[in-house]
Amino acid sequence: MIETRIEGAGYVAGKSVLRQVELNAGEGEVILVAGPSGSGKTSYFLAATGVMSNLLGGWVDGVVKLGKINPLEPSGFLNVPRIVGVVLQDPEKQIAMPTPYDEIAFTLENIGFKGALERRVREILDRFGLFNKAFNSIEDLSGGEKRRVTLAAAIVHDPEILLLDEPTASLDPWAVRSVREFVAENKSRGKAVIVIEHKARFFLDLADRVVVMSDGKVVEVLDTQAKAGRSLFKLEDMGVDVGISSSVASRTYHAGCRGELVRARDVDAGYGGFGVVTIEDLEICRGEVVALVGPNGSGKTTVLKTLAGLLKPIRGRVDRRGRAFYVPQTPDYTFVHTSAAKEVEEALSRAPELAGIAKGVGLDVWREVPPYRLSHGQRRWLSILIALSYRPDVLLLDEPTTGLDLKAYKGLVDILREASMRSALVISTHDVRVVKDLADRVYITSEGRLLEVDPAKAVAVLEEAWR
Amino acid sequence: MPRLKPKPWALLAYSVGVTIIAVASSSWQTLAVTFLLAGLPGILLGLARFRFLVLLVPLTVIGTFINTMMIYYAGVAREPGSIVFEAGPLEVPEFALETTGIIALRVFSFSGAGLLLVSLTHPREALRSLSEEIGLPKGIAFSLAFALRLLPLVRRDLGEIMAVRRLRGYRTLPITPSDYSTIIAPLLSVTLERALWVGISSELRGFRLRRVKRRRLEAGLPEAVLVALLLIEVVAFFKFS
Repeated sequence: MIETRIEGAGYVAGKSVLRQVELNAGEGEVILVAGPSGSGKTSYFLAATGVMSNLLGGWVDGVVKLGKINPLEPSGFLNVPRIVGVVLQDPEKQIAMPTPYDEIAFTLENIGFKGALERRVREILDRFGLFNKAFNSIEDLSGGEKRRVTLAAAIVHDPEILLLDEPTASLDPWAVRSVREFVAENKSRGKAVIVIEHKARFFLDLADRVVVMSDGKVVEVLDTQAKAGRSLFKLEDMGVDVGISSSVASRTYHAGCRGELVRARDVDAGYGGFGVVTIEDLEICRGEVVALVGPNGSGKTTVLKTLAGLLKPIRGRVDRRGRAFYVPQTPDYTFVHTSAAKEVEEALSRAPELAGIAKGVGLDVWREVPPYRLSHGQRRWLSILIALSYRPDVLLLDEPTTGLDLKAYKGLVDILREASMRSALVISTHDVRVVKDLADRVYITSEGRLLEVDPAKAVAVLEEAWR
Repeated sequence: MPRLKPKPWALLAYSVGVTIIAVASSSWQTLAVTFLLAGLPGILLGLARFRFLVLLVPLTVIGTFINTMMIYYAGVAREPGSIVFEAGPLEVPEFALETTGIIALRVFSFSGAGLLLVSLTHPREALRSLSEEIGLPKGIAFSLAFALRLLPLVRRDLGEIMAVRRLRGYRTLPITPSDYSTIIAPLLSVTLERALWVGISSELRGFRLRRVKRRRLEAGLPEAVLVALLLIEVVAFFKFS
């Protein structure tokens, strides 16, 4: 159903970002495309769907067939949506309409659906558990619900082929499970599914083959039999997160408070007068790493902002000693200068001791490019460098590992460990590795309350939730 | 119950009409009429949903005022009028206040008319109405419809940007052009990236295949009210020009 033999492909003439990529998928097959950031996974997605050559002014040499369609030809590209369903990395960069109903109807209206459109939309909303939220604003849905809207919109016209680009990015483990169920269901219905994912562990058991990319090429193809034991260690060596081992050495935590920095007791945190999360008792001390876990939309970011002093509690008081700094999930929000060089220069002038970190992550190459044009990983590093340059006593990070590959993740953990010697760290995360590798204490946001849980138990719950 | 909300095509036509009058007129009486009939209701409706748009007010007033003062001090103002305010070397001539007032009324008139469209229209409904009822090319209709979807996201982005600015010790009330550029740059970066991927997603979901079936233009009482308002503005334009 999917046949790709790409000799070369690129966004600008003469510069190839993909070379010798051969990837095929038959009926009922799931192919997992893995590899570190910048390995060419998303470029493969854009080349295989015809977007690179038909929309982005790029070029693709080779053969691509999706069913009987050649998406590299303009006439073939036009018909891609009839047989292909796509899911992109970030639901907010995919959803074009304001409600789940409209978003799903949009696909059907576009392809000229012949049947009863309203009935079909309602059926699919029901199947994805969105029936009661059909006319809610997309902005009021949780991350998991937004993801379900994109899955529903991808499948509503019953395509033969599904292409999913990083479908678990920013999702909590419960939402990851719904993506896994979606892939498994479509595999059993005979669809050809390609899942592009750097957190390969979520789909290893469902995949018929794992294709590893690096530097724009396919460097390894593992079939079902080989996806175990030593092959997995080999994958991990290639920068693929297969989740077989703790990726970094464990942290030494000295119990006992080395100076209380944040204290919140009987606090209601929320927006616009509506309580979202009740914090019964929270104390954070210097040298501690506290992880906040919980489903998408359960109020973790609200708690972070309240602890940082950016949101006034609805009830109660948060006592803070020293400086707090909040790093949002989207690193771009952190920048105030129009060149990356200026941001780095300003950060290092405030905290020259960070020069080593800047050099280690490649930010010492002071480039006059806007920070927004750096890679996602570099933007993430820059935002953390900026935060550290303020020498915060309390550093609050919202989903700091989103979009980072294994190597970048390990680098981040090293930096945060060092930072935890001087400061208290509060990290909102869905990433079980953060809880395992960094957290001394774990809190969960559940049913409007913030509760402390045993870290080992939290790891077990998070690991179990997506399976 | 009779329909109270005007159709998207009528709101678009109204906002285009108001914009033409506001741009073509330099009489404060005409602009006061367009401001009262389109600008003010649009701004009030719009601000209720998108409070961040309040930034437009200082941006327009301060920006224009600084410009007029520069023109005055450069000695190129043709009729500066008498000095209204004086403090040391600073002189504020009549010309600066008048010009600032006229330009502010003009900007608030057409931005208010635009906000009427944004506040009273729903993206999918706008896409269908603009392409099927008035035959606007579907690509343009989609861009307009998607802009409506972007506004709540921009509001959220702006909240995050302001939060970090506060922590970094930067002003959250923008005063200088540099304040505006450092707020707008991240906003644009995030919005453009979002727009690019939504464009790709829409193409891969068959937007190019979308057939536009022309429908008869529907008009009722709300559209008649808009026509009446526009007529008043046209009359004011000819009377005071």
